[in-house]
Amino acid sequence: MSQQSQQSRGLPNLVASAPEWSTDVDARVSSVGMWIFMGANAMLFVAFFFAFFYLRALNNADNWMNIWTVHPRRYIGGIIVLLLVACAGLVVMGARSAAKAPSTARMFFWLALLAGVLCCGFQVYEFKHLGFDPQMGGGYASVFVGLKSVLMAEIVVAMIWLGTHIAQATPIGDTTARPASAAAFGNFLVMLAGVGVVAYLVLYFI
Amino acid sequence: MPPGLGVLAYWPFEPVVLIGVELAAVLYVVGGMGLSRGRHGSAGRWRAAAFWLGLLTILVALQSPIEMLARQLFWVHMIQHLLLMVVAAPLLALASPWTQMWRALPLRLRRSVARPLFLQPRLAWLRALYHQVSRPSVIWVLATANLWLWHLPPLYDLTLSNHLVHHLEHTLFLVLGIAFWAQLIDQRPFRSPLGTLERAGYVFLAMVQSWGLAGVLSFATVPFYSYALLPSRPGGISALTDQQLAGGMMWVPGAITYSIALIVFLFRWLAEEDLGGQLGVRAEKGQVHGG
Amino acid sequence: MAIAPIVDGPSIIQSSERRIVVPTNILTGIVLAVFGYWVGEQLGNSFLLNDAQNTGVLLGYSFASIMFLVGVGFANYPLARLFGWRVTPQPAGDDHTGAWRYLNLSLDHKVIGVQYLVAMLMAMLFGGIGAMLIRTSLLVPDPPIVAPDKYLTLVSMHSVMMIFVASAAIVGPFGNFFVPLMIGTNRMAFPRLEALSFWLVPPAIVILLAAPIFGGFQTGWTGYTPLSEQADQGFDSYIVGFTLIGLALVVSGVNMLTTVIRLRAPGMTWIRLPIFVWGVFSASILGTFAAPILAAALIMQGFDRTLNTTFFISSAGGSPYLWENLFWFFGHPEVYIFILPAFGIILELLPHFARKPLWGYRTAVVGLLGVTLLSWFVWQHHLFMSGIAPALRPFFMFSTEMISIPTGIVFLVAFGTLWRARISMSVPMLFCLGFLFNFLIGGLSGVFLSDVPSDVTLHGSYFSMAHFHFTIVGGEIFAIIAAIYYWFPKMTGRMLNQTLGKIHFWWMMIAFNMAFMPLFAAGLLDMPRRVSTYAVDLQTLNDWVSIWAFILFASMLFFAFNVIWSWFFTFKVAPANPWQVRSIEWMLPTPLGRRNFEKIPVFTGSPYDYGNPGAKPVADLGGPSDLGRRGFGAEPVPS
Repeated sequence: MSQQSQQSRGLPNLVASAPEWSTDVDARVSSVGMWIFMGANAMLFVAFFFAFFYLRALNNADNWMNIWTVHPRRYIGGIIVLLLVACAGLVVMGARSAAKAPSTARMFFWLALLAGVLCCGFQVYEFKHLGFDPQMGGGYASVFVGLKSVLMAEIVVAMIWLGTHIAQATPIGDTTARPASAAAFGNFLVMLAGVGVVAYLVLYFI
Repeated sequence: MPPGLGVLAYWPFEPVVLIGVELAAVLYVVGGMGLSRGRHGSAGRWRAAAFWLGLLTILVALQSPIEMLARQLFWVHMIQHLLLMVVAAPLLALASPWTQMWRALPLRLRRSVARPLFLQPRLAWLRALYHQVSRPSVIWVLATANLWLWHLPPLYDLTLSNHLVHHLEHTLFLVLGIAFWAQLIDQRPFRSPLGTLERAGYVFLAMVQSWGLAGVLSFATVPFYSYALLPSRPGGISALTDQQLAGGMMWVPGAITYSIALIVFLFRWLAEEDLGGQLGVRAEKGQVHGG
Repeated sequence: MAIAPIVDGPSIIQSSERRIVVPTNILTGIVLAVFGYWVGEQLGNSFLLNDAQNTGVLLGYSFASIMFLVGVGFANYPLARLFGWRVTPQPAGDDHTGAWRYLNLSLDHKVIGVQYLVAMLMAMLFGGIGAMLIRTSLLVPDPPIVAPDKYLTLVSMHSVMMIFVASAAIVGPFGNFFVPLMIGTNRMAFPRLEALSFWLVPPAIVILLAAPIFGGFQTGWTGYTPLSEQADQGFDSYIVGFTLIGLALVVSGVNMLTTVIRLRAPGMTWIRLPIFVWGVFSASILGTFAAPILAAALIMQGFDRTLNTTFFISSAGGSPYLWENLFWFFGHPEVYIFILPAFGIILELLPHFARKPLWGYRTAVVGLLGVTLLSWFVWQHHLFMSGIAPALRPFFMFSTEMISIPTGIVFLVAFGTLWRARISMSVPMLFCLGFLFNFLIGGLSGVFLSDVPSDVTLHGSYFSMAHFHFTIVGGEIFAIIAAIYYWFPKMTGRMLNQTLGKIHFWWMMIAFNMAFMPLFAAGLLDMPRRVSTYAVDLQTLNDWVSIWAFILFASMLFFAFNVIWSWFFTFKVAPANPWQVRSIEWMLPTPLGRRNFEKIPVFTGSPYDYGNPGAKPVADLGGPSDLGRRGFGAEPVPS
């Protein structure tokens, strides 16, 4: 890391080059922190899956899936999930080469970004061509819209985050200096992809 | 057989259970003959007590009037299964009677079985398979899958109508249950590869998955199994209430053993940390030069 | 060309060719927040959904919060990364200096701790004013002083504000300030996340305070549907505010857990962790994994109020029980988030002021972890009278009663520590003893509520109100005040006046018990919660309670006076270790430098090892470390 002397507006810079900020500390901290965050994030989706099974079991007013609701087309849902899985896989591969070959990592990250953006695009398309309207009621419609919206919102944020990794996957960039953070991010995307797969199976087949 | 609690006056006759328990008891006693008393001190006495308690639990679960009530009430049937999986199985795992039972067999028989199993090259694939299957993660998955599969309505109803399948179900619960607890309690001569904190996590995950199944049973709005076909139940409860009680049984009382195990492992892990600290060794692996 | 000093820090982004200065501070935050609200509202209203204008308000609040954070400076580092500029992730120093640091984004955990303390005290003031208005209204049974729906809004505002306070009032100020010190590290695992967890709180408070402008909400802090579905835009404050607090819990939890797991100094094994850190750790486990459930449930409510989904409308395939189950699955761990750090404080302070080792340290830890575990499967006791299948009640009654066992273990450890000890009746110790008295009453009353037969009559009455006020106010708030008196010298460099403190204690203790003990009676006399009118023969009781509540509020104002006076109007710097205790934070100078430890400490002894002549010092702070590998403590600080 660069060690040019810096002044922090009158405060001597005691901190930036101190040993507690070294990259191996960051590496271990990132992986544990990401696992914990993934667990917390999984709980968010668990609540939606609980809502699915609970409302389906209750079937209040016979309105779990009313006559205006049909299962959305599986191939669109399938494309969305496949793109998400591809995105996650590409990020993982990119993270692996972040330290040694930043340009390869960059390429993988760009491809992942493409996959992620396409995924969101298809999701928006699907929302516009759902064949049912959450306002018409029905528990399934609500859970579908809710779960998929939250998932898409997280994918969008993840894509912005991926953008920062793309920008920093240069020979002097931060991702190259701290590949552990890219690996942790890859794990996060794998978790999102996992949620996407489970959501696909639950929402389109049950 | 009268319906209702009068049924408690009747004892079932389950030859499979009786033979199994007696065989185990005989092997244990015969295998223990000739060993000097108190060879393993008080630990040995505790293990023996655990063994007999485990066998007694199996008898209470399957060869007592509870079995009669279980044919009418789902929640009593649940108690039976819980007795097998979270009382008898851990007790038998604590007892770790395997070497003693093995010793009951004649030496020539033991050698002719053990030598090829351990040494013969042609059976290397068997050893490799065992190696893979006996991994903690595999055992966890198998035990969990076993639990959930038998609760699928078609299979569960099959156990209610076919006695042999029912015995198979109980045997699998017991065997996989013992295999599960063997990952947490070292079975001489086998040692579980899990560290103390890992064992805590292992049992915590098992508890959480049982909550999942319990939640399904508790929150369901229709009864799942052919208990619903019975015309009436002791206490006049509905089939749905019966199912909710069963779910609650699995949820809370079913979690007691796991909770105790979890607390024991946490306690033990803290003690290891203490010992590590006293020896000046950093017991926690991966501790970082953490500024 | 000479490049002027370039700063690595939250707001100045370094690059080798360019220097950009993006001034970000609290003022830009506020300005951008207002702008963001306007943008969000316009956007929301432009969708023309049939939504009683909730979309505009919800999006307005959301954009306002995001833009506030951007304005304060959280976007600088991500944007710098996004633009590919050369960034150093470690915080070099704070962007602002002096007292202005405390009003702006700081990545120093000590500054964040003080910021949290002030924010929590201010929020408590707002909540307390709400309480005073409630009690004023209850002086007269009929006709009520405040109209019923406005009264319910008062109740909701008071309760939600106090919930916000209780969630973070210990982990925020004291967890942030002292956990790194106690484990011997100079950093938190994720300083930006920790700062974020603080800066989410002011928007949450402001958004909540805005609720009455939009008509308020009448659901209380539990937000039950369908009442919430029928509420005006005031309820949108609840949704967004509570989501922000939930996010703060998750973010703070991720940081706190990782810090304790990964950044302990040599010799700081888990068994040597100060019990306060265990309290914070166990509460963080709960916060991290329970809060997302709340967030999901609030998002569902948000969708119901904007996209007209029907998560909670039973005639349309949803169910109010979905909300109840999701809310309480979070809500029960939430109350343990309140009390576990409070246990941590009490068990931390008792050995120091009783000059005796903590009795049964391992037992206490297992007690705290036992509470953490059990809190996940008791939530249905909140639904005993609200829709749980009756067959399930016995099981949750059993598990709820079981949770009193680890709680009892904590009490056992506390009393074991006090047994035959030389108790020094300092102000912190007084509040600890007050905690033990109050929480005992509160906890025991909880056992009555956990029993289904008695809960059938007591649910929704003032009995349950008395129960949770004894546990939260008599428990957690007393612990917070004990912590303030104890740690004030280290955090601010000033001692709180001890004589005023003793007066404060007795004033508060007596007023609190006089005010809340009769509420048990009110509950047994069938007075329900959340009502603006009540039976006329209960007026004497209510007037007694209200008067003592005013006296209690006055005691808190008295405390506030002590705090402000001692902090800003006394100039004597507190000694480094005024209480003469062994804990490591007192081995450090007052005030603390930007970097906590010049050399990483090596922990050698327990902080509770009193009365043992051969006790090792808690840590070796200065000498060269003989653990030469990996350079522990042996690296000189670069100048």
